Order: sequence, then C-alpha cells, then structure tokens
Amino acid sequence: MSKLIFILAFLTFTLINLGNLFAKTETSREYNLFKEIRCLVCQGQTIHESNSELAEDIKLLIREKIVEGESDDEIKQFLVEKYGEWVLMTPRFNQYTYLLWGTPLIIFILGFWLISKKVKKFRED
Amino acid sequence: MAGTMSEILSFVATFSLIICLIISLYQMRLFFIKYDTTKNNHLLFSSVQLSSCFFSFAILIYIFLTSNFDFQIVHSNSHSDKPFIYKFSGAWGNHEGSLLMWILILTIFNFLFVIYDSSNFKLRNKIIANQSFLILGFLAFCLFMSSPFTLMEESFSQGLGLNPILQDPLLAIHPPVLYLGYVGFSLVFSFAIAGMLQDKVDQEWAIALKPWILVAWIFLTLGIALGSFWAYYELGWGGYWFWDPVENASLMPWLSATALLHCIIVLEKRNTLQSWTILLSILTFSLSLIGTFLVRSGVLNSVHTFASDPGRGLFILLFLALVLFFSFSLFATKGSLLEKKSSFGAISRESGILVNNWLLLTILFIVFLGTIYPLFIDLVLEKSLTVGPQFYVVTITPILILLIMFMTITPLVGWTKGSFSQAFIKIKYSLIFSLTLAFAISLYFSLFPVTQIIILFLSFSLIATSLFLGVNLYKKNIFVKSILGRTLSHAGFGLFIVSVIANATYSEEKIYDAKVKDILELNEHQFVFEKVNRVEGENYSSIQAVFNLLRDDKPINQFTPEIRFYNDPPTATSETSIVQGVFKDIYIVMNVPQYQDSISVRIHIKPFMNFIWLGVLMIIIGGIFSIFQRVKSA
Repeated sequence: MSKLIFILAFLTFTLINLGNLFAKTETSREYNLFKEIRCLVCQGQTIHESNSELAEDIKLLIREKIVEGESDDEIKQFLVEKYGEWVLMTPRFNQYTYLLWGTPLIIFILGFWLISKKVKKFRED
Repeated sequence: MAGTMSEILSFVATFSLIICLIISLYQMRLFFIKYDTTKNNHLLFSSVQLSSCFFSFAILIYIFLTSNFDFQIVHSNSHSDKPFIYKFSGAWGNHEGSLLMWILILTIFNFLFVIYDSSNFKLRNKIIANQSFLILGFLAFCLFMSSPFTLMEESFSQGLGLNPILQDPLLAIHPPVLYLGYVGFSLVFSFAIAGMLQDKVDQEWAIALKPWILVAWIFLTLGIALGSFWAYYELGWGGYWFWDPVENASLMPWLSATALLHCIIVLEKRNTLQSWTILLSILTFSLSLIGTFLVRSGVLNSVHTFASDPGRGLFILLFLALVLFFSFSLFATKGSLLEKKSSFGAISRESGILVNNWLLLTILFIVFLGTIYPLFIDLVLEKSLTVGPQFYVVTITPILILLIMFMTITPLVGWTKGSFSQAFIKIKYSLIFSLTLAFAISLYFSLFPVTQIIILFLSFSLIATSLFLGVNLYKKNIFVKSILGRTLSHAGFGLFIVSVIANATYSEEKIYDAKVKDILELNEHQFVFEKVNRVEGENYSSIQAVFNLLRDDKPINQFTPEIRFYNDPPTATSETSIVQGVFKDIYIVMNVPQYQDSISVRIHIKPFMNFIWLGVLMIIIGGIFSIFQRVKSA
C-alpha cells in the first residue's frame, strides 16, 4: 500500500513539474542573458552586476535585439563576433572547449570503474 | 636611515627566526632515529621552535601597532591613521607577514602534536622530523627571499596604507582561520610520510590521525565560510560564492579533506584502503600548498593577491614539486605494500564511502579544471575565454544529486555486507514525508524547476534520515555520542543545500535611479529614499543614503548604504546595508553617483540566507563533536 502511494505521489509530482519547465517569461530571458555576458571593463563581473557605461550600452543593445525577435544564440553570436569568446560567462561547446566539457564525464566514468574494480577484487578474495 | 631601535628590533626578530631554523634542522635528524627514547627533548625543542616564531611574530605586530615606518613591510602596508584593529591585522594582510603567520601556525601544530599525541606512538620521531622539514623550508623562504624585517633605505614619516577593501573586521580573522586549516593538513601529510617510512599505516595510525584531520577541516570550513560571508556583505553583488579562482583554491583542499575524513573511517574500523588514505593525505596537503601558491604568486587576478612577484611564486612551486616528488616516490615504493586486503560487498558501508570519495573527487576535478582551463587555453591556443558559475552549476549538479542520495543511504547500510531494501524499509516514513513536503512546495510555488524539486526532495530525505537515525539511537542509548557529530554535519549539509536552492530560486533584485523622496517598490516592499548624509569615519569620508522600509506607510527598518572615500591609498568602496530577517535578508547597495540629482541603487531580496549560514555552522559543530567522540573513545 505504502509503495503504491509512493509511486502515485512520485508520478503526479513529476508531471506537474514537467509542466513548469516550459513556463518562462520574457523578463527572465533578459535577466538570464545579462547574467551570461561578461562586463569587459570590470573585474570578473557580469553586465547584470555592473553599472559601467559599457555594460549599460550592451544591456540596451540586448533589449533591442530581443524586441527585434532575435534568439539568445543569435544575440550571443553577435556579441562574440564583436568582443570575442571571452565575453560569454559560460563557454560554448566548440573545438576549444571539448576538453572542458568532456573531461568531467570521463573522470566520472573512470572513477566509477576504479571503485567498482575495488569492490570486485575484495569479493573474489 | 633607520633608527637604532628599529635596527635592534629587526636583528632580534631575524635572530629569533634563525634559532628556529637551526633547531628545525637539528630536529630533522629524527628521520634517521628509529625509536623514541627522548620524549622530554621533543617538548623542549618544539616549545623553542614555537616561542622563537611567536616572538618574531609579536615583534611584527609591535612594529605595525607602533606604525614603525623604518620597516619596509609597515611602510608599504600601513598608515598611522588606520584604526587599531587594522594596524593589528595589517601584520598579516601582506605577503611577508602572512608567510610568517603560516610558519607560526606550523610550529603551533608541531607543538600541539608533541603535547597531545598518545604517549607510545611509534611514528612520533618521523612526524616531528617531517614537520621540522616543512618549518625549515618555509623559514628559509621567509628569511632569504621575503623577510618581513627588512629596513627601509631612507626614512619616511608615513606609510602607503592598506587596501580599504581589506579593512574589515571579518577579513582580520579570515586569513588566520583559513591558515589554521591549510597548515593543519601539514600534520596529516607528516603522518602519511611517517607511516610510509615506518611501514605502519594501520588502525592505530588512523585513530591517532583522525582528530588532526578534523581540527584542520573545521578551521578550513570556518575559514571558507568567513570569506564567503565577507564577500556577501562587502562586495555588494548579492552573492556569497562566485566560483572565483581564489575561492576555488580553498574549496579544493576542502573537498579532498572531506573525502579523507570519510575514507579514514574505513581504515579505522575495517583496516583496509591504506594506500588510498595515504594518497588522499598527500593530495590534501598538496592542494593546500597549491592554494597558497595560487594566492601568493599573482597568477590569478583577485583581491586576495597581494604579491605579484613571480620569484616568490616560483619558490612555492618548487617547494611543492619537491614535496610531491618525494612523497610520490615514497608512495610508489611503499604504497601497495601497505595495503591490507579485506573483503566487502558492493552494497556495504565501505563501498558507500568509496562512492563518496569518487563523487567528491569528481567535483574536485571539475573545480580544478574550471579554475585552470582559462590559463591553459590562453597558454596553449592563445585564446581567452571565461569559465563562469554556470559551468560549475551544470557539471556539479548531477554529481551533487548522487552525493546527497548516497549520503542518505550509506549510514543505513552495514559494514562488509549490507542490504538496500532493509535500508529503505528503515527510512520509508522519512522518504514519504520528504516527498510530500517537496510536492507541497512545488504545488504552492508554481514556478519551481524540476531539478530543484528533486534536489529539495533528496535534501529533505537526508535531513529527515539523519535526524531519524540520530534521535532514534539516542533514545536507545546505543553509540549516542559516536554518531552525534555525523548527524549534525549531515543534517547541516542537507539544510545548506535546501537553503542554497531556495535562495537561488527566490532571490529578487532590481536597479533604480533614485531621487530623494522617491518611493521604490520591489514585490510587496516599499522603500522611501529619505535623504543623503555626509559621514566622517576614522580614516575615510562617506556619502550615506538613508532608506526606510515602509509597512502601512510607517517606517519599520532603516537602510544606510554608503560610498566610502579613502585617501591612503585613494579608493572608493561601496558599503552594503543589510537587514537580516529570519527568512530573508533585504540588502541595499548604491553605486558611485554619476548624475547630480539621482543615485543608482540596487535592492536585493535574499531569502534563506540565515539558513545557509546555519547549515554551515551545523557542519562545523558536527565536526567539533566528532573530535570529542574520538578523544573519549581513544
């Protein structure tokens, strides 16, 4: 009985939350973009956190591009062409970042292989 | 020319360090003496090492307090107008002074080891010898390459001052606490070396070592937390962790130490995983050294870097290479011989702890990779890119989910051979409770992403299970104290994660251009901008904006964010004004005014901040309980 409740509760809750995934507003899109663009004249800040003139200009530019209907990727691409890859807070997946995004997964799998070997070895004894 | 008094002080302080250097060199003979017959000498020598360093350090503080600008270090880092506390803390707010503090703490740990170690422990000689080797290495660096007692060529009546951003009570204690953590791992390292040299890495070794790991780990945790708290209220960006390289440098030894803390339990209880424990001990201390190197060398750009002298960075790097080379050579010859096999099944406490180590080290690797990748890609491909917080969030989140799951289950599974289904039966009700709670939250706040809900559910289960186990056993009075530490730390970690998630999801912020008498609105809150004051501080002047938070048109809280202007060195800093509530902090920060009639203000609503700090505090208190458990049972 408790198992049944458990499964039912889990299913309902997953379904409800899947619905939430698709609810995103425009303002959050603007904010999310601001948080992804580095302020070029500040020390490790995003344009969202910065009040410098350059940051304000880029914010204005992004707002305009959102109104013009450009996608996040298009806006990012535009900024990268203008300021370089450095402007993005999160590096994109490309030939320069295969190692960055790939090796954590490799280490994760390698680690699992190592510990599973340890367990098996002990078992055979 | 420096005065006679200053010359005497400089001479005495340097001489005192040379005494310590000679004794440390003499103590290194213990590497070649097998058995311990001269206990009293240990006490004598270690107290001389400690007191000579302490004496030098006291002189350092004295010259800072008296603003003796005959000394280079005081001239470049202090100013006579500085408040008393920052003259005091200014002594270690620079490269030379912090190095001397590092050495002082090394001698403190050496001394404490001599006093508190159980009397007939066979590794004593080798451990003291290795500690003395470390003292010698850093002392040589201090004396020959960066002496704090260098006198000025010509005399000055005034100093250059301390970076105002470092003039903060919390930053006065953050470095000493962090160093107590970093340097505490030197003793862990010495245990590992001594254990390999004497072929003695066993349960007795683990029992003697564990309290020291805990002490260092507690200080490191506290040090990181203090730094994070400082960043929260001082930097004014609304966050408390920025994945800044220097923050990462302190997180790496913490992750490794946390893995070690769990792995040594297996060695202590089941007498296995010897070589892995040794490896983690070496890794933890090496990462502490790397942390120091990264901060000191100027490779990284940050408020923490006060010495951008490549020669100094090079020394630490060479010392690190030496330490790594010798310890790994020793490990290569001895490591596998030390390993004692004992069997355990795939579902057992042992393998659960191995999973913990696997996940913590994967996170460690990610932090390491993210920190050095921009440097690496810049060197190799001359391309610059930024690895920001999102990289860490995306890569670490799935591992964190697994980590919390295993943290919940492992303490329920028995040693050697356990069973999952029995574990699940035990925590059936706490799981159902947690699921209901997470479910209720997701219904109540309709905008809650699915990953967050999953983490919430798992963290609730972790808290519920930890408390359930701790309290249940408490009633039966079985191993009461032996799991109190774990209960607190694990539940604290659960609370920490819950609060971090809730904070990230519900934080609000808004930027305003405000004129006096404006009313600013954020959600249900109304703030009225009352006035602007000019305030004169001890060594700064500031512009202070006064805001009142209104409820039913009456002011209930006042906020006074400031912009401070310091003269020595000339800098402007922005001071936040935070009102802490039980469930949320309200946080106002202003920017240097650009227009005459309005100021730029940022208001943050940060929910659950108190619970983040409470979670960390519980983790630390759990650690403290674990030490006393140890001492009693030993």
